Amino acid sequence: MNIEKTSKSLLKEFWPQMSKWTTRELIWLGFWGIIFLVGLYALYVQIVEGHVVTGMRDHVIWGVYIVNFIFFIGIGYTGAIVGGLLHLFDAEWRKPLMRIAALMTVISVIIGPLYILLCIGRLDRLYYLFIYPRLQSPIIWDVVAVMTFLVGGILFLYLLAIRDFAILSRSEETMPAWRRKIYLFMSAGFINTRMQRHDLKLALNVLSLLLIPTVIIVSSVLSWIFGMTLRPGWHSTIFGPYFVLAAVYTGTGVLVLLMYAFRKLHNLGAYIQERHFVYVGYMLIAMAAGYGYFTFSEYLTDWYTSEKWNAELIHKLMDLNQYGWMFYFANFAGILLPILLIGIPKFRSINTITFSAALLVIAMWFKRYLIIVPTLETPLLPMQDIRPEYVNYSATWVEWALTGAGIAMFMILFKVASKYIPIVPIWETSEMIEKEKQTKAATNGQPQPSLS
Amino acid sequence: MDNSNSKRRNFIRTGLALGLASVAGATKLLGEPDEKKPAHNHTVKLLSPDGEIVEVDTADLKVETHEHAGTMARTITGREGIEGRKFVMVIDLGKCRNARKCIVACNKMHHIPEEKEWLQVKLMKDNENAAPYWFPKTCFHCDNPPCVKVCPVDATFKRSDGLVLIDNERCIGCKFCMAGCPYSTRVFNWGEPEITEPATCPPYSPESSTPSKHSTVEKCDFCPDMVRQGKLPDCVTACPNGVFYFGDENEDTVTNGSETVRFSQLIKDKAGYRFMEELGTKPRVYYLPPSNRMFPVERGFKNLTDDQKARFKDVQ
Amino acid sequence: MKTLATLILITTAIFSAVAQDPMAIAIELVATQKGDQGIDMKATVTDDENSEPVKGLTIQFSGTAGEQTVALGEATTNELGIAELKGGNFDALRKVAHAFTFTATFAGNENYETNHASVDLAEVAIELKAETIDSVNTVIVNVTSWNEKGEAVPFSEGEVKVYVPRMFSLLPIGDITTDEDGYGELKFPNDLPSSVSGELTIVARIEEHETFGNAETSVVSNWGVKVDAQASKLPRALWSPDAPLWMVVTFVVLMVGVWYHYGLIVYELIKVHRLSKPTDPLDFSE
Ligand code: SF4
Ligand code: SF4
Repeated sequence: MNIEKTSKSLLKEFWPQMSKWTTRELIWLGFWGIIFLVGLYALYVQIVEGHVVTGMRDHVIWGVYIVNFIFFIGIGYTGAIVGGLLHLFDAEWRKPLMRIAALMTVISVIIGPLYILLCIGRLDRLYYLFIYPRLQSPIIWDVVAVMTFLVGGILFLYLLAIRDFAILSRSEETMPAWRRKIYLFMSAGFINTRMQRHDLKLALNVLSLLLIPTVIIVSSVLSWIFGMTLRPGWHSTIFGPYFVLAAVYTGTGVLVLLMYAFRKLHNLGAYIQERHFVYVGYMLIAMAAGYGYFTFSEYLTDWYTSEKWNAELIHKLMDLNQYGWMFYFANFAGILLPILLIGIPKFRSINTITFSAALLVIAMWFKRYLIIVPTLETPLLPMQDIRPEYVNYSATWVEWALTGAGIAMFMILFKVASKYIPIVPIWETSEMIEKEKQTKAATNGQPQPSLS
Repeated sequence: MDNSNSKRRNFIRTGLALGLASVAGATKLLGEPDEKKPAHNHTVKLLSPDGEIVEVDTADLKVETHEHAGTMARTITGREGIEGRKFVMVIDLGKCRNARKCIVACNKMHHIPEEKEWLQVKLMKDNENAAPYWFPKTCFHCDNPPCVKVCPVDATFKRSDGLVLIDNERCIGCKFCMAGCPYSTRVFNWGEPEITEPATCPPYSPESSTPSKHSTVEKCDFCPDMVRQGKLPDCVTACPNGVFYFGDENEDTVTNGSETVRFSQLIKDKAGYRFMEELGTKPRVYYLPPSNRMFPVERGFKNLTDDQKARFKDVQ
Repeated sequence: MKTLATLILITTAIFSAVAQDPMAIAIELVATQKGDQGIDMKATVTDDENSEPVKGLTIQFSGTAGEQTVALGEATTNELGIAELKGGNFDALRKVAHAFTFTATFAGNENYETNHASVDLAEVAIELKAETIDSVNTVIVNVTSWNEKGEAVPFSEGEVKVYVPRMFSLLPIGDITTDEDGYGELKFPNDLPSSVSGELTIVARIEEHETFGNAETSVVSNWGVKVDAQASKLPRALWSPDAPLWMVVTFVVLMVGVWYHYGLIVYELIKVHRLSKPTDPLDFSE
């Protein structure tokens, strides 16, 4: 095997992308930068005036912020669990995708919790969470879980990147001395001796194994913020697994979008290939099926038994004059359509898979909205309030601006990260290319078995 | 949380409370509450627990001004319950005519504006054939309070005397307790709170629950600062129909100001129940069913503004 | 002549408006005799004009029997216009006679005119006993009054109300009508809770009697059902400051589990770091 040569050529290919900003990229950055700044202004307004500037009121106490929180955190959890699983199964084809997955994890888990901060009225007292914590509160569970997970996510990203740092630090490309120094430092002295290989592999295996239960616990904990309340539509025993699956499903959708974007923008067609889309597409089908099953059983039981408030809620969700359109969009466009588009071989292509992913990501955002808002609009006691903003929630510009700011942050962080760390892992991809060359030679040009 | 830790915390809080006591002195100088009280030597018609109308001299009624504990030395943190007590309330739905006097009194006492209602009177109709009835709702001070369970920073807490209170100096405004309370009891200060008659407002304590603090949660507190002085909560004394009975369950006694009865006897005789028992929250507020009504339900619409009437349009 | 009179009238009117004549007040007095425990007096002061309670007036309480008058004490009205005297000692009067006049006087100041109110009372003595007769808890009263000659006579057909004082008010237990010997009894409930000690105060009152006014006496019994004080300590629970133990244990196990492995990973990394020098070339061999 000649990993050295392959990795050198890979780096040579990627380096122009990594070493300078094109005008187009700068415009892109500027665009999202402006959106981010608008969000910052909205944040300023919210802090100065209080939460009156949002659409939240005494009944609907949480709105799109918490929706975004669930959405981003879910994406974050996915990178780790999908990456970890693929690593443990040692699926060779995963290798070019691992960087995107790991970056996605860290970036989303940085953005997500910012939204929960937006739900907190007294940010000046935030440190009370650490000096007066009550272990009984799901918020404390979540704070601990997110922080623990963030550390794990960063470790995951780092462990997977060490070998690339080693390559970069010793590469022949020209780069400023400080950059090389940082790469050298980040490579942790890895030069691929037998012992080092062993240690690194051990560390990665342990972490992958650890991240899977951690993600499950952590996203269940997230669901329990809702599951632990006596509210229709929230107080459900399947909420833990339901949220785990929702998180992974959405996250995998985002992964596809990122694959598509980088493939196009960075010309990575040779490494992020059609088969990657297809494999991830298969995963999407499996998850959509699972998620559809959960959704069906959740609504069916509530609808069948028709307990007073559950019945009221289900009616609200299905009524076309209320949440009907959103409901059908979320559940059909978000679950059924992807299954059909990816499942039927005739339709299956990079474009349809990406389209399905985009569809499901949007649908899953609305799905979270449907979980949060209609439930809060269905209190157990009659509201008997005539102030319209207290009865029905509608997000204000502040909330939308801050939602935009989160997306902007995601874009900007990803773009910046892609300048410092190759989006396709060099070492691992070289390994894959070399290995595949070998098998090709051995099987004499026979087509590849799909999943390694 | 170990014990020494909480002791230290209490110590800090006591220090804070003493500081507040000096502020209390200052506010006292600024202005004395000038309460208007009904003339004496007048009789009013009241309902006894058996629904009989009795005439009582107003001088004999326990009509009390709201004397906040601010006048007492402030050594109370508000976190310890009143020794040996277990407060309980009984609300007689058969006597309520939506006079809204309780709401007015409550708002005045807690210096909260009209549109904020810690105490609400809902119009309930349990099913299509059921007769609608007025339903005053305080915080139930649940014994298994879902709101307290979820608070991340111990800002809302349950005391040994049964009260569920909020420390607005601790609350981080996460609103989780509002999601937790199934009875929509809690309200949030979405903006800078309006404080009515700020000059007479006592210094803040979890027992006075006033003045309101921005971006924190508040709710009915059963007026513990009054109760500590052996006085009834304001809604109890304000109700012209004696709907609210309040007392100490450990003494098995409740009173609506004019009539004192044994709590267990009242619950037994009039089939007292707790609202939505099936939720398992174990409320400390009991209801007497709206049987043998003293007033037709329409009486409740009499003195309402159009806005207030509009609230109930779904029920009629 | 007529004009002069009008002029005088007008001037006085102006004068009184400027100098603000003191306002007239009304005092309402309620007195409750408690035998050896003295007398409770409660004066409620309102201004005459709009019947508003007057705060901050000092009221002097006094009692008269025959020729003798004693000062019993003084109190200042609160914001409800109430000034209260508890247990004023009137033993000196009881030695003189068995009928008294109690008076509450306001001496007057620049804002309010002087006024007084008084009530006439004849002495009545309620003897109250809490006895368990044949394992039945019984409240026994014996009421004595005095005739014109100063002789003690039983008070028959008297209405005595029995209460137990509670936190906010008096809980009625029952009424006793005394027999011709001034005796009467009442079965006391045996399921009435009390404080931790099991002690219950029992109050017997004669209320608004035309001759005797209010009279009251009390006795402490041990008939209360003790309340479990332990119950008021907060347990470990979801809703108390201290979490249930299993929760703490689970939390610690989970945290230790995860962070231990993070530590392990960092340890592996440190091992990796120690195995080389920065100048070493990369080794691509498998
Ligand atoms: S009524 Fe609501 S706020 Fe009050 S104690 Fe119960 S759950 Fe908490
Ligand atoms: S809003 Fe305040 S009282 Fe309510 S749960 Fe949050 S911190 Fe506790």
